[in-house]
Amino acid sequence: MVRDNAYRDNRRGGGVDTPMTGMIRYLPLMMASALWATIVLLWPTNTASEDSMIAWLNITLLTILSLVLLNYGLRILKEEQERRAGSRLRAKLVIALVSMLLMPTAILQVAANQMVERGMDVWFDVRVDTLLDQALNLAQGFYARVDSDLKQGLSSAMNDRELINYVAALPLSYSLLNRHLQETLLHEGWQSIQIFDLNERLVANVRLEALSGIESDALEEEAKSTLTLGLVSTRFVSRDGEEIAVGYAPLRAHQNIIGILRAQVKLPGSVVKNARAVEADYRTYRQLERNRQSIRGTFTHAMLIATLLIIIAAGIVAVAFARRLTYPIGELANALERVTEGDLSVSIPTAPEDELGSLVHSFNRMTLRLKQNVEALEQTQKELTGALDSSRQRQYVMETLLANLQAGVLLIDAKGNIRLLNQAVRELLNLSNEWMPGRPIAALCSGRLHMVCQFYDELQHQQEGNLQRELEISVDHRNLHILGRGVRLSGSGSAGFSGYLMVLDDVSSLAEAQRHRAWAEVAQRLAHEIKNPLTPIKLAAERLQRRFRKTADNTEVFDSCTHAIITQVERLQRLIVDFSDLARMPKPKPTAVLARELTTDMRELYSAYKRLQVEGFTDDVECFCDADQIRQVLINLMDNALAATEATKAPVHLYGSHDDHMVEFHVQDGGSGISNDSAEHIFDAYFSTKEDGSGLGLAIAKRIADEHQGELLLISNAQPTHFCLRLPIEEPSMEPS
Amino acid sequence: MHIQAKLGRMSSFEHILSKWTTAIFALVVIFFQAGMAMAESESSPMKITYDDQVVYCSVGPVGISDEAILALNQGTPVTLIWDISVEEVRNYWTNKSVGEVVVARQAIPDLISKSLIIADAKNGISRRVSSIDDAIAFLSELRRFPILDRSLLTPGVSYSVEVSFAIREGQFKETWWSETTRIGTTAAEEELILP
Repeated sequence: MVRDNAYRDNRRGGGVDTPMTGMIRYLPLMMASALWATIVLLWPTNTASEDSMIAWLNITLLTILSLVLLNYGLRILKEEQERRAGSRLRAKLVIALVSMLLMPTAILQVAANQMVERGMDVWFDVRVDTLLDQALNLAQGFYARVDSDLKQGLSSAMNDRELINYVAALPLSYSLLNRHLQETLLHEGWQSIQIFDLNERLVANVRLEALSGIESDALEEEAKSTLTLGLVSTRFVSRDGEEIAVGYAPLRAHQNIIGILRAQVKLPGSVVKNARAVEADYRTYRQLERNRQSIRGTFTHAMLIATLLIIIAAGIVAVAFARRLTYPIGELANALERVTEGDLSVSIPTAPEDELGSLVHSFNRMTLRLKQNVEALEQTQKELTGALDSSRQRQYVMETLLANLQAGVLLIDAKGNIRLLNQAVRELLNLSNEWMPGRPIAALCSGRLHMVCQFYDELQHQQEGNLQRELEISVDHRNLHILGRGVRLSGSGSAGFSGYLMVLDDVSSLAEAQRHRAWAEVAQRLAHEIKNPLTPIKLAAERLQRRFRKTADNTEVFDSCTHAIITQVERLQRLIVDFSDLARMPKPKPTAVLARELTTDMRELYSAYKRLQVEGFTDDVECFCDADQIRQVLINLMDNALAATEATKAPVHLYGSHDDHMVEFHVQDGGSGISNDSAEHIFDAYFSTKEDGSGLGLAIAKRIADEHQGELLLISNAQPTHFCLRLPIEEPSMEPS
Repeated sequence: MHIQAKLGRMSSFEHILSKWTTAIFALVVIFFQAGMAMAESESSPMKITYDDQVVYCSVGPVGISDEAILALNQGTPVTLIWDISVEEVRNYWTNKSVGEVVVARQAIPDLISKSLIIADAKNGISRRVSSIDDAIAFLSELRRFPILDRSLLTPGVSYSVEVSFAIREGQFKETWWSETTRIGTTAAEEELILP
């Protein structure tokens, strides 16, 4: 049973719970908790930033993964309770596969973070910082120098009296002005120079041919401020991929602005390119530096996303793999459960082409073989059951036969042990409970049953196969005449039985009837032969007494002799009457008689005896009997009781009782009682404990009781001496004897 | 039997898919709502004026973060995106959008010449300023900015004018998802009822 339970546990994936497997069971929930903690730690704080989107994506992925783990963990616990086949193995596989991936991924994550950290330290090295600052300063210095030179040149031109005179002269001498501007252009190293009047109209324009992108159109805001404020201003402009320094200077004559000078210098392309490259690098570097934490966070989040995606993918693959792997195991477990429950028709239809498939095929072969064996067993069982039923029927018939058999049957094996005894033998011999199968008969046959052992010994030691003897055994103060018949059984083979069969029949009634019949014949003859001479003898003795008494010498002797003759003759006459009664006992003519009348008759008949107590029946119960014969029986019992108490004057008690079937008349007396030896023969004819008794009274009484289908029993042989006459209430059915 | 099993699996799979889709959608909604709820708000003075044809809005100056100022100092362009929306106020339903104006003002530092170009990123109009303060003033303030044609508004009806802004560092690139992913700071909100 215990092994069966263990099997069931193992079959359902239960197995033996170790602390490790117990912890594994809760691992998904622990991982979900860890993920929730991670979510709290990584919760984005700078929500306004666009970089936080990746953080939110991370949070979402983490949340999904934690929910998946939570769901999976709860499902594992649920399946653990339901003990679904293969669930634990599947959980273990999934957890193992994910854990196998989780560990290197986590290590990789940490290593990558460290590398990024170190890499950032290298990228944002102080030397790079200084170098970029210096490069930017250099570029700024170059631009500042160009700007300064342009401003200085513009200041010189602004104070050039010759130029102012040319501009202020009316009418303008364009040739002189242009020549002077040409000289200034060459002197200052500018690429173009223009002069505008106060109406912003171009007055003069000198330029180098190489400068294609030089602006020569309308004035800009700076020029207007120059006109307004009267100050030199410069600016850098980009045009067509080139950078040009543009400067404006007011031209004054007598403290009045008469025009604007615009000069343009084209910056060297290579220098500009390098300067802008430095600026771009500086800008990028500073931007990266500012976003250092953000970059680190972004990288961490990106790595985390990659890790989470890998874990989710691995989890999905692991679940699919575990399902594929454990599906046949689950099928096997379910099939085993069905086999355990007795369904041997189970078969697993599909199986992968691997070791599990081989296992499934083996299982199918095993169940098929089991089914065949069970069918064969069932067939054998059916045959055996049939045989057993037949045997049981025989046994039943035999037991019923034995139970209903009037004769007692005793079966003793070769070792002398009782193998079987029926109820009849128990009742017949009034056997104690020690008489039971398996007990040795030699140890039980003692006392009144020694005749049984003698019979058994004789049966054992005689040469012939059977034996018949009449046994006299005392049972309940009665001597039963038992006819014992014994047979020696000599079986051979496994079904054979060696021993002795003893059949005991109660032939007491038969013996008694035979004895009665013999005595009746003797009595008839005796009565016939003795009765006739007794009357003349008695008359002669009386005549002698009357005629010769007076002449007798010794009257006393004469009286004594004649009296003795008369008394003995009377006694002999009574004896002969009894003999005659015994021989000529008429058949009873039973009718329904009130039992109370019988006791009332006895009370009236023996009213002279004060020590007699009669307790009649209180109700109108009837008994089915011949009233005259029953009165004779009761009178006999009363006479005996009164005679037994004559000396001691002990009370005699007559009372009645009844049940549903029988009426009982009890006669008790407090006399000296009957010895045990006498009690065994008390109902025998011609057995008497009285000196002048014929020994026929109780024999006749018992015969009357028997002929009424009743009983006359000696309940107690002394203190008190108790007789009981039992008579049927209703007419008994006369069974054929 | 086999088909039934397959259908059963399909049904189960669809059930699981539906369940997880719902859960994920709920999560996204929760996070989005949380993000929206966590968006900062900043109270700034706003003045709405109008003439016969146009409704104007003046708002600011709003606070420019130190990070943005540092970015400008270090040569990184900074763009301030103003989002002005006008909605008709409804009592028992969500407000009805009447109009929305997005203005992107940009400051591009020139580290070499130590000046800044300020420009409207939408229409490309720009000018050069020499100080960061001028650039910040340009970015952080809208003065009498036309937001709506007056004919779109019904006199006597309550409208809600909400101005929010978002600061972006680096080159400004308008993309189709910019608007949906932009999480701004509410600068001001005011009710407008035309006579």
